[in-house]
This record gives sequence, C-alpha cells and structure tokens, in this order.
Amino acid sequence: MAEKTASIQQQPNRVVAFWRLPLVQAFFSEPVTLVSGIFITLVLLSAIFAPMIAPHNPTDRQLPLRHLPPISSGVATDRSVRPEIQEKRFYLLGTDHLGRDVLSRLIYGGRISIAVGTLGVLVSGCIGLVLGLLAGYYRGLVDDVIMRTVDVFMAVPLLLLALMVIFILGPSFQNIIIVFAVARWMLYCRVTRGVVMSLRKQAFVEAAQTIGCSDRRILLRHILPNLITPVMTIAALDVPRLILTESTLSFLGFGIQPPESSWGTMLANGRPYITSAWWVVVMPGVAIFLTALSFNLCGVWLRAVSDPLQRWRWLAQTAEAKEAGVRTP
Amino acid sequence: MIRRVAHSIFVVIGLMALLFFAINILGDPIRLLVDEDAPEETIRALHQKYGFDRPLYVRFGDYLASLLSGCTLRCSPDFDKSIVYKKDARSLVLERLPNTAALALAAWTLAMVGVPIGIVAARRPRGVVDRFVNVLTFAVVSIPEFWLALMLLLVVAVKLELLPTSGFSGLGPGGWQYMVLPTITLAPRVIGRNAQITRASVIDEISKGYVDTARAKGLSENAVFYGHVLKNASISIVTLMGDELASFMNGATVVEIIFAWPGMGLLLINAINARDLPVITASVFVIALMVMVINLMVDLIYTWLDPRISYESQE
Repeated sequence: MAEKTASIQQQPNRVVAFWRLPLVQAFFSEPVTLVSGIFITLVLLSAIFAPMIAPHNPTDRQLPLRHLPPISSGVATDRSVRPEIQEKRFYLLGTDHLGRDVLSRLIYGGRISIAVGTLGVLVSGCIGLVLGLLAGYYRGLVDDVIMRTVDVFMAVPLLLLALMVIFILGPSFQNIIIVFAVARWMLYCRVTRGVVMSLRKQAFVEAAQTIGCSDRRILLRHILPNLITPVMTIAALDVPRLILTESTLSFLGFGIQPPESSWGTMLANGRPYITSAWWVVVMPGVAIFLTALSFNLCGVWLRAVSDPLQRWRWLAQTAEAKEAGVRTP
Repeated sequence: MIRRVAHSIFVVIGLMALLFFAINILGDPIRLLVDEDAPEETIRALHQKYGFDRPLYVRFGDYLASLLSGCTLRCSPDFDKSIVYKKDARSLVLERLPNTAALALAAWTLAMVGVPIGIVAARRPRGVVDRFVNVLTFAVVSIPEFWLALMLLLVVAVKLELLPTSGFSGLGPGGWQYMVLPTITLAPRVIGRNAQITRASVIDEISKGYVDTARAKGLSENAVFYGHVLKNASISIVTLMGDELASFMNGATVVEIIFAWPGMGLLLINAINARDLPVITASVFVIALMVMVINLMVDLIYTWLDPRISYESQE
C-alpha cells in the first residue's frame, strides 16, 4: 500500500521534471516551433489513423456531387450496401471532379507523402552513414572511391536524377524511395565522413584502439553515438525537401500512380479544373506547403539546439542574453 | 586552381559513366524505346541495328570516344539523332539552352532582394524582425513551385487577365510578358535562401574577434557593421548566390512545363514521355554540365575574392 502511494506521488514529479528540462522548455517557449510541432503531430496522427479519421471513403465516387465547393453537403448514394441507400453527406473541403471527398483524399494522401519523406530519409541516411563511416575511418583507397562517387552524384541536380532513375525503373512507390536513396545518400556521407575524421584523432578513440577494441566495436560503440545529432539535423531538414520532390514527381506523372494518390497527384488531377473548382488545386497545395514548412521550422530549431554555440542563444531567455546575442557569440 | 579544374574534368567523366551505366545496365535502351508489348524479334533486330548486341565495354569505349570527339551524345553508332524531331540531339538541346538560361538569370537577379532582407534580420538576431523574416524565409522555401505557378496563373492570368497564361515569343523585347510569371514563380525560393544565407554569414562574421577590435578602436556601430562585417560576409554571400544560379537549372523544369516555356526542362520531360533516349541523355548531360561549370566558376571566384582559401594548400 505504501509503495503504491509512493509511485503515485512520483508520477507528477516526473512530469514536472520532464517539463523543466531546458530542451522541453525551449521547445514550448518558442511559439513558432510549438505550432509547427503540433501540426506535424496532427499530420502524423491523421496519416496513421486515416481510416478512423477520414469522414468518407477517399475512392468513393459520387458523380452527381462532383465539384461541390468547400463546406457544403449533398445527397450521396451509398453503394456498399444492398439495396443502395441515399444519405446526406457533409463535405468540409468540397469534392473533386469525380465527386470524391477532398478532405478524405488529403488524409490518405498524407500517408504517402509522409511515408515517402521519412522512408526516403531513412534509407538514404543509412546508406550515407555506412559509407561515410567507412570513408572517414579507413581513409585511403576506400575514402577516395567513395568521395569521388559522392562528387559525381553531387553534380546531378536532384529532380534530374530522380526523373532519370524513374524513367529507367518506371514509376512506383518503391522506386521513388530508391530514387531518394540514390539521390540523397551523399549528403549524409559527407557529414559523417567529416565528423568521423575529426573523432578518429580524439583521445577516446585512440584509447579504444590501444586497449584492442575491434574496428567494428569502435565504429559502432564509440563513433556512431556521436553522429546521431548531426545526421538527425540534416535528416529533419531533408524530409520537407523529399516531400516537395515527391509531390513534384507525382505532379509530373512520374511519381505515385493511380489508384493510390499523393498530394502531388491530387494537384495534377485537379489542374484541368483550376478555373471552375479552385479548391481541388488549392487544398493539396496548402497541405504540402504547411507540412514542408512545419518540418523546416522544426528542423532548423533542432539544428539551433544541437549547436552548442547557438543552444546558448536559444536557451538563454533573459534580456541580457538577448542583448548579448548581438555583441558576443 | 589546376587541381580544381582537373577535379571538374574528373566529375564530367564520372557523370558520363554514370549516365551510360544507368541506361545500359539498369535498363535496356531498346526496351526503353519501344512499346512494352513489342515482339521479341523487333527488339532483337533493333539491338543489331544500333549495335547493342556488342559487349558492354566495347559500347562504353565507343560512347566515350564519341563524346570526346565532337561531343555528340550517343550510346552507339547511329544513335545520336532524336527519334521524335529527327534532328541531332545535341543541337536540339543547345537550341533550348539560352531560353532556360534567360529564365534562370532573370529569376536570379530578382532573388537578390533576399540579401537586404537578410541584412535587416541579422542586425538584431532573435528580434521581432528576425523572427518574422525567419518564418517568412522558411515559408517561401516550403512552397511547392508548381503550385505557386498554378496559383499565379489562376489569379494573375485567368482572373485578372493581366498577363498571358503561357507561351513564348522569343527572348527579345516582345516576349517579356511571357517571362514575368515564370520568373516570379522561380524567385521566392531563392529570395528565401539568399536571406537565410546572408543572415547566417553576417551573424557568423559579427561573432569574430576583429569586430571586437574594431569596436574597441572606437568605431561607430554602423562603421563596424557596414565597413567590416558586411564586407567580409559578402564573400560567402556572393559565392552562395552562385550556387543558387546552378539550382535554377534544376528547378526551372517544372515551371517550364506549366508555362510552356521552351527550355531544356520542357524538352527533357517531352523526351521522357516520348521515350526519346538520345534527347534524354543529351539534356541530362548538358544540364549537369551547366551546373558543374557554374559551380567551378563560383569556386574560382571564391578563391579570387578570399585569398585565405587556396585549393593547392588543401590536404
């Protein structure tokens, strides 16, 4: 019984302790970051729980109700049951040219955009991390080969490389991930190599070498943990870029193929009707824009906080510190 | 300097190899050309006709040789003509190059607006102006370009009927109205980036030791800022702006499609849709080459502006 009371009493303390962490404080004291963080959480949740949240079936066509403007309702025919029943439906963001609910399609499209962004970053990040570790740790021929390859890949613009690979492999979800892996690994490789090269000369790595740690152990146990912050920062800022690129590819018809649809495909489908039904083009665009913006703002916050020099600036909230931000670093 | 140029040449050769292997190993060039349900016999006949039945290394040698002599982009003999236009792929791409370059230059010039915005933001880091500029620059960077293009079309061209929706009538004085909307679409992203870069480099310079020295000398805040900080920050601003010019060569593709601007991006997309392989390889190669030439120039300007950086003395 006594133990139970103790654990209950400890609970709020832990919450308070978490709340008082400088990082958490900084996050919540920054309104812009807070809002974008909340937005990302909302998008993520709606992507994960899309079937529960979406008001209607995203592929359900109601031709008599096509191009309904936002905030309107119409009588739809539910064809999933026999006999068909007529029901009144409310469309918050209107319907598209086939009478499908724009909001539901946005929620389901978000799944693809988020998945492409995070998976693309994950795959390219892992490849870049491994190659960067090898190049920075072993140097010599391995380093030369890897870094010259990086140079060649860096010379090709992202969209161009993406179009090229999609042309050869054909458009599909997996191939888009492959494209991003091929087109973005250099980013992580370069940073990883730089950090590894500087860490390699530090005492703790030399000490580990002296006591006879294997290369694998040194790389995984001693060097890898130090790489998490720099790589995470790039990754956070690369997610919006990949989301934008995916939507561009889909818009051009080289991305996600029907019946699946991402925000980019929704925009492309709505393009012919832009003058008569603006919402089918505006809504997916706003979704892409807000998601990319939120990721960017959170990413830049992460970068600022992970930089010790800047962290001081961000965490110090006194008037003196604000003034000092101009005078001294 | 020689090292840097040699490096560029190496990258060009690497790029050609990448292009060749991408097309020849990941896919079969003939299969990329013909319809998916073409009979096996036709494919084999085409293989023979264009010399694709030869071993890979022979084809690669042939490809390299053809690139070096006359710079025609062909993967095999008789393979340098566009299938759709029945013209030499290289000249087709080079015809389009000035159009893309004009668009890129116009947008790049407009994007210089970002520099003063960045300076204003950097004068008071974390101040009200800075926070506002920060969100604004990230906002413009996050706008999908094709969406902005469509919105501009809808509002300016369709609703207000101020400018033509799309088209092209030469790069002369008569064609300006076709250029306005594509330029306005391309510029915001780079305005945002320029502002971010300017802000970052100015703040970076302010934190350096010589600024304290200048202040200790008794110089006014303005003299320190404009005479020392800005002058030194401008080196990295100028070079990074050069990088942005290279990024236009990439970003212009989508905008060219929406506004039917006959640049290299439009050519590339049409070639991909028509499976016109010679044109695809030629345009990818020329665009990548342009990006590289700009990067090389930027690096050389950088060493010229800032004598502290030298390519010879690098490890």
